[in-house]
Amino acid sequence: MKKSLTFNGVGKTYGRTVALRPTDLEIKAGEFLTLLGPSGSGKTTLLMALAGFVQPSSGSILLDGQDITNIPPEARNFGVVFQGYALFPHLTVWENVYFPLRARNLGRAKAREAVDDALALMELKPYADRMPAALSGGQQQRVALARALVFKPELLLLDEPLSALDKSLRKTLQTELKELHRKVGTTFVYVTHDQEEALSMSDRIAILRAGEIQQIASADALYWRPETAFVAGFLGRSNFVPMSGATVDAGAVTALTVLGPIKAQLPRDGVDVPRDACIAVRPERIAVSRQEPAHQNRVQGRVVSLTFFGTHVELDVEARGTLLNVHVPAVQAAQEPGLAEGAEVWLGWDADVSLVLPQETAAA
Amino acid sequence: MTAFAPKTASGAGRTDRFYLLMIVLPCAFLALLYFLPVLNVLVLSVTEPQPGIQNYQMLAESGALHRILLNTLRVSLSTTALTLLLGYMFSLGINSMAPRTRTVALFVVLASFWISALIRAYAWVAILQPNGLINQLLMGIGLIDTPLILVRNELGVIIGMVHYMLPYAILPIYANMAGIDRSLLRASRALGANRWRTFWWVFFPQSLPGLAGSGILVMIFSLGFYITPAILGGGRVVMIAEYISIQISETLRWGVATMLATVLVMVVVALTIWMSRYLKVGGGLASKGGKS
Repeated sequence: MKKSLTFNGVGKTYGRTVALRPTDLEIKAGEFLTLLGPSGSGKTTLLMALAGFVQPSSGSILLDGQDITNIPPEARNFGVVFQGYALFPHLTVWENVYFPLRARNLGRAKAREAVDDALALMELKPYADRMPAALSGGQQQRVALARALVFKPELLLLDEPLSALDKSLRKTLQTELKELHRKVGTTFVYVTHDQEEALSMSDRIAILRAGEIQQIASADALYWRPETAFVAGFLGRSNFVPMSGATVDAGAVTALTVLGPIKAQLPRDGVDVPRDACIAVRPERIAVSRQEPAHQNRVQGRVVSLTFFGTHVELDVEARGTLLNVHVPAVQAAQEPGLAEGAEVWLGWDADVSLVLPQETAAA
Repeated sequence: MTAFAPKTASGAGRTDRFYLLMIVLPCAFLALLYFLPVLNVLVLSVTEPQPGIQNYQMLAESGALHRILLNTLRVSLSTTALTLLLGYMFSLGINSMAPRTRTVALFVVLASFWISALIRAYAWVAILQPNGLINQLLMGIGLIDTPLILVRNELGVIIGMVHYMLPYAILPIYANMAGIDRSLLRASRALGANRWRTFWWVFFPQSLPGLAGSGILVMIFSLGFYITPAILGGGRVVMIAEYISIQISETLRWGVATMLATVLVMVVVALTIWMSRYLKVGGGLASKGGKS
């Protein structure tokens, strides 16, 4: 039931518009993979190519080594949960869930057990005879999941399934989806533009931008080791300081910036300093103090604004004409007397939290 | 602020009265020139030539009347069935067209409203008659030796009526189809149903309300057709409206004519009531269709 999927240079163009650049992608059996990106980044095109609704202009898709590029959607045996659920309005909940089994020529009597099991899994038993229009958004979402899972698909594709729901319900269903993934063990491929959804559920996240995958990694790897400025800025926040040049000495980079020389690191071994690069530093990795700190990188600045957020205090500090965003834990900020708007402060951080990243990735 | 309040209120009252007037006038017009004459017809049907229900007894006894009613029913049913079939096919076509070509196609449909039934009927005679366009074409390419009898019979009447009714069928059917969520068709394919099954299991059941609405509309219109059957039937296919006209203007049996008119009105009213109920519960009906 668990199968791995391989994309070999899969691309899609509509006339002159490139929806997806030729992409290589390995989806591991049983994983929860999220395709994350802004609208127009190609994530939906990628998912629809996988489902069989978009015929790739180039490349091939392999399921356990078998080429499925030209197989019609109905023969792929993938479960799909659409944006807005796409429940059949003329069928009851039970009939909606029975639909994929009916398409597989299973009689009502034979299918009853499987349908009832799927409804039980989603806690929908009491609603079996209702019409979809009589259900709440969350319930409709669970019907769509039951319908997509009832035939034990090799892969479950989810296209922004939570986008139509309100925020609190979305949170609950994120937890439920993760739980469901653990229970059924099927490979999940999930498309979203919401980074919080991606971070909270996925084993791995692929970040897309302008039709190409920028980076695929686990949530924390993406957060701490982004490989492009786009990833660093899309997932969480980062301070970007433009570079005018750099010297490299045994892996240690010293970058020339408006803040002076900054000791920094490349995101991983074996990459060169990109031509158009910047330094990225997470706001929570910058320490603030009244005295000069011992960090490898130190700059002096003035607090322009200070906002209290309960767990942390957010500062905008102007240093040599550049505005840096800094998050200080609220407890620590309370112990720092004189930390207020207009105060002169020192900012400090080490080389291992300042990454040298390409500004704009060149077209692959 | 308060000084203005009464003024505004009376202003609103005046506007309300103005709109009421706009409704009252057409209603009075209808009552005077439409409902009163219809009522008069109803009265005549039980008073002419003498008071009593003898006119309605004819409905049960007269063989000629039975033939007319049967003609009317048969032609109307055939017209409805054919119109729905062609209308559904056409609607399916325009539903899958690109927006711009669809606009052109819908324009073609609406364009036929510009030509009167009379002119269309004569045009059909010209096309269908023994030395008309169709027969000349078929004989020209050697497919037939003797002309086909396409007009002055029931076939001709049905051709003309289907042609007249098609736009009336297409518009509601298409409007309904356009409202069907396309993502449902994708979902169906993704869940394992091929194109054929997707059509019959997902699309067709949801298009039933439009089909039913069109069907009743076409049936109601067809029952009262006068010009088209009179011209294309050539006196051989007499439907109820033509028969009523003959009774009024030639044989002067007003009692029979008004009785038939009353019966026709009753049937149409009954069908209309049925249609309005049917369209309201359209969704439920479609669901029954889908269960199979």
